[in-house]
Amino acid sequence: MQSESTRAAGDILAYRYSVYDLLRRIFLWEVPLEFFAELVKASQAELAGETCSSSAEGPLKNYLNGLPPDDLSEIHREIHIEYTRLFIGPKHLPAPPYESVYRSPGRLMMQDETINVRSLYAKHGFRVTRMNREPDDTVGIELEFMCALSKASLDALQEGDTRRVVEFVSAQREFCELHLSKWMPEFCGDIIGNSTHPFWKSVAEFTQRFLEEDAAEMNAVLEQLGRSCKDGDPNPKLSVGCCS
Amino acid sequence: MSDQNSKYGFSRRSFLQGSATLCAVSVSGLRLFGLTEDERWVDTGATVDITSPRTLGYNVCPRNCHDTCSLISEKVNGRLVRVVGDPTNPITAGTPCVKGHTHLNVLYHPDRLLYPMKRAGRKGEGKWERISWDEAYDTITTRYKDIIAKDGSEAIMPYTFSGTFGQIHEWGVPWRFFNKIGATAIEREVCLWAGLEALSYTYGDPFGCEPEDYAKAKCFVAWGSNEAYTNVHAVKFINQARDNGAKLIVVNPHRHPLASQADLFIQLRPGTDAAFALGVAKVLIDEKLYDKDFVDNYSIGFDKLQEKVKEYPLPKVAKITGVPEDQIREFAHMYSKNNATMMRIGYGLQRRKNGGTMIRAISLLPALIGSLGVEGGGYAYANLNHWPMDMNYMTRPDLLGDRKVRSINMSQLSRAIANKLPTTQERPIKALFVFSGNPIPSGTNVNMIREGLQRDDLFTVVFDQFVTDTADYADILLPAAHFFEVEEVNADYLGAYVRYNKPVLEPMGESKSNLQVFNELAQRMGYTEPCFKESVADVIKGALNSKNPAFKDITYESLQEKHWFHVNQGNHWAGRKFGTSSGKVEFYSAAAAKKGFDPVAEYVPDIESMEASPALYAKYPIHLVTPASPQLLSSQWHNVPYIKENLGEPTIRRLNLQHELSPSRQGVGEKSIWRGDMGIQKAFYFNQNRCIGCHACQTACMVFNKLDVGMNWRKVEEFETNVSSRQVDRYLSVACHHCKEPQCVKACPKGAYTKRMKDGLVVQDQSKCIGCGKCVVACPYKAPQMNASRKKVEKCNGCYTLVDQGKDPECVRGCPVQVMKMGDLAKLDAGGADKTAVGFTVFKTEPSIRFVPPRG
Repeated sequence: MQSESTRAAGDILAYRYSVYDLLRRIFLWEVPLEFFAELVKASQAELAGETCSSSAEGPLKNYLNGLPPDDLSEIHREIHIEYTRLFIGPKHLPAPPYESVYRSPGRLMMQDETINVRSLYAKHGFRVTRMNREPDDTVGIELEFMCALSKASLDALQEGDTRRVVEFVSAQREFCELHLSKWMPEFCGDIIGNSTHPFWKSVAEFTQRFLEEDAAEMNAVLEQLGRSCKDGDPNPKLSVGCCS
Repeated sequence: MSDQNSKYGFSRRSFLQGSATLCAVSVSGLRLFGLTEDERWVDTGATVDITSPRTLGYNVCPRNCHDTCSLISEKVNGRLVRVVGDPTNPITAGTPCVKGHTHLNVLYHPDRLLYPMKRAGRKGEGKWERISWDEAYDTITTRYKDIIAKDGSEAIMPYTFSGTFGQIHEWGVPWRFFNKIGATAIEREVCLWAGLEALSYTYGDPFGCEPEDYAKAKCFVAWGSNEAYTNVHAVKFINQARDNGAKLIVVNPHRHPLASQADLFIQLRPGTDAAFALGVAKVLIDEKLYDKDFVDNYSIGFDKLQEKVKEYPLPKVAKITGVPEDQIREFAHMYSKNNATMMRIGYGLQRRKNGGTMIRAISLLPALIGSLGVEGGGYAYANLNHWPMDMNYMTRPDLLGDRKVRSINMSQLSRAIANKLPTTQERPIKALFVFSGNPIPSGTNVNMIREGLQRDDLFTVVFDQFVTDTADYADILLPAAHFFEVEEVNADYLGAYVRYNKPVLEPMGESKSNLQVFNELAQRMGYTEPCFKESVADVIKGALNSKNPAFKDITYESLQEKHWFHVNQGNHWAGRKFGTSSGKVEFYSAAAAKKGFDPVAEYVPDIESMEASPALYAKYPIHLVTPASPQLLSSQWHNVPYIKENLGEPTIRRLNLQHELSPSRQGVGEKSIWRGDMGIQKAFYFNQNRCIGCHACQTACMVFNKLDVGMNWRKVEEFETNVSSRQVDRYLSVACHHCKEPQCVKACPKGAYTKRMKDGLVVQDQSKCIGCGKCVVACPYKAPQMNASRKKVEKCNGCYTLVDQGKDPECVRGCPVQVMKMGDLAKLDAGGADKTAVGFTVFKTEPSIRFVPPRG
């Protein structure tokens, strides 16, 4: 029998997975046009002309909602060029997308933090595709790692393997505590402070708020699953949250 | 819960979950982009092995510099963690310069160009898009083919020179590509060519002494050179000579650090060096101070010189140069006292309209005093005769075939691209390929270069490690690999070393070496010559000129094994045979006459000078010179925070031509004081007489101790002072003085400070620091500093971890001039070390710092 709380845990895992998947795509992919069009379509379908009052998602959704769906190419081009200016160059980067730049005294790539991130990836069976050529602690890759572990936790949940769900979410919590939380607030702040583009400002606000929330959600999930385990069933069946 | 707003403001009924394509919750596997999942892990739970052992690499700093340091890099887990100088190389002697301390800060700079890009707005607007190498190559080759078909191959022009040197990637393979195209040739003759030509008129070739020879000199003249800024590893050889009693003479309008230390400083008006040299020659001849034996046996045209110097009576020379007559005589006396006198001739003075004529006049002096062929005597300008590569193999001029292409001097780039040269008015440059160079800050007429680069019909490619002022106007930007990532052979141009740079890293991002880019471009242009498929190793093996006996030991294999070679060619003037047509030193040069120059020498006033344009001079009497900086190499290094911190604001300094002579100086035997043994109280021992204020000690400290930007455990301070009524600069390098009565230890409420029993170093335990700042107030030297972002105090700990291993602190190791040591305080005091120096105050805390006594 499923309790309210276990159903909620499933929903949370599914939600987190989808958000990390979205964020890693945004930061890794330079937001291709088709993907951007999908985002706009989805947002407009959901809001159906209304205004989103959520303080965390509102700016992003309302921005997307206000765009002309059939004529996105010029808007998308501006977003793309702003991405380049913020994260690729060639001029001085307003928001360098590497953890070690924010955490090392000399503000450099490939520092101790990078190698610590690499070790954590390795502990869970991952390595960066372009080892030693692109920093392991690039924002999109760190978010992809979170996304991959989210997927793994969902898979484990579907298989009813609570022990592994706990293992994956704990690993994510550790990664957030040791890494993401240590630099993402400042990184997002740099985007907000240095970009006048509504898309990137709202993405940064959204990311900042989401990571804050997610830290609490991970604790909640671990607490719930811990309680379920204590209830006597070593492997309680949990429901998988679906897209509703 | 899923329909409620969370406390963080999320609706949770998100559009993120509303779209089937966006929602990643699906049965299919997750597609990864930046990460790779290891199959073994999936199957067995084994983790990925990412550790690799610590390895040392042997590298060469290729940043266009006399010193061209041999470096040792330390690599752990795929990245470099430390770079030091090769201690076995006599020039580098264990440490690079202040800039070299920050090589890793450049290598891993977050602003490095990592991907090809194309312009996405107007030229100079600053809008860019990342593109693939395929797109970059296609864009370039399509455009080049089009230009060649419509405008001819000479509408394409390369521009380079020279942030980075290298036999293969800079002097070599790029020219294969441009020769094959038949592009407009660029004359890269802005640096030192006027002087090379002038010296050849006198001596048959321009080559001379090596830096190691300086140590044997009895008198050293730095004429127009600034070793403290641009040739810092030579300073220790000059100092070795001075330790043995050699005089130091500096001729320069700029009061640079060695000028402040000099026994005689000739501060002449810019551009008047030829007049000064001819005035000195007149004194040497009139007072019979010249070497008659040398002149009689090894020179021609002395009678013509005797006639010529009559045109330069001392009152006239003094008026032109601003140097008093007695100083001209003083120079002639000091210079000719001994023929083991070394003259270093710099490049800056000849980079002007009459530069070559100035060097020709100066070049007569070493011959007049017979210093050539004498140990410790002669001159040094540039040495290129140890370059071991066959340039024909490397650059393949045969690929040009019978085509005659125009050539344009790099100093004419502005006019060339702004269509203001006759040849480019007729046939404009349509494509510019810029690599290892940045003409906007380094070329002539910046505004006109900008005007040219803004032309819509000019297609500009810039290939570099960082965006440059020039790159702002590029159509395509290509990312260049860093020297740690590229195989290369380097040869310096003052010593006689050939050095091999073994790549220790894969290029970051998608950056590429010059060889790779030009080979790939050539292949996409459809060029099928096998040379465009050669690897760096192929080029080195093919181009090494091992038939020349001087290079017989240098092979690809021996370079890999030994890392560097000294090409020993003995004393350049042994036997006193010269390469001129007469076989002698030519005070009268028919070759110079043939080119339209005065066959002896002459002073040609600058167009804007007092003599040439009195009216103009009266209106604009200020002559600006722009000296180099020890922390920068032209426009490089400006973006490194540790460097930027030491640069300060641009300053203008007025040269007051006061010309007071410093008194004669007696060398104080600092060697006798220096014993360097271990003791109870360690102390820094600083030689203010020799410090050049380059900040290398401070920068080495920051890099080694990983200091936050803004924190300076060591600081270099600059003072203007008077020594015997002559205005000079002095520098003071200070850190924590590890006092006998350390106030920080007393003031700290948490016991974070400890004075170590075994060596007296005062070290701080950061974990105990609560950031109360009491120590900051208590220390009269302000050694403890508040780190505002960490809310803790920090200070120099004497690099006690190194000291415990019997090594020097990093500031001591990192000084290329070797002016600082750490030793036993009691022994220093017993040896007569000074307790104070210019700019230093002795407080009651009894600081453990001692100074080499002032000389004189």
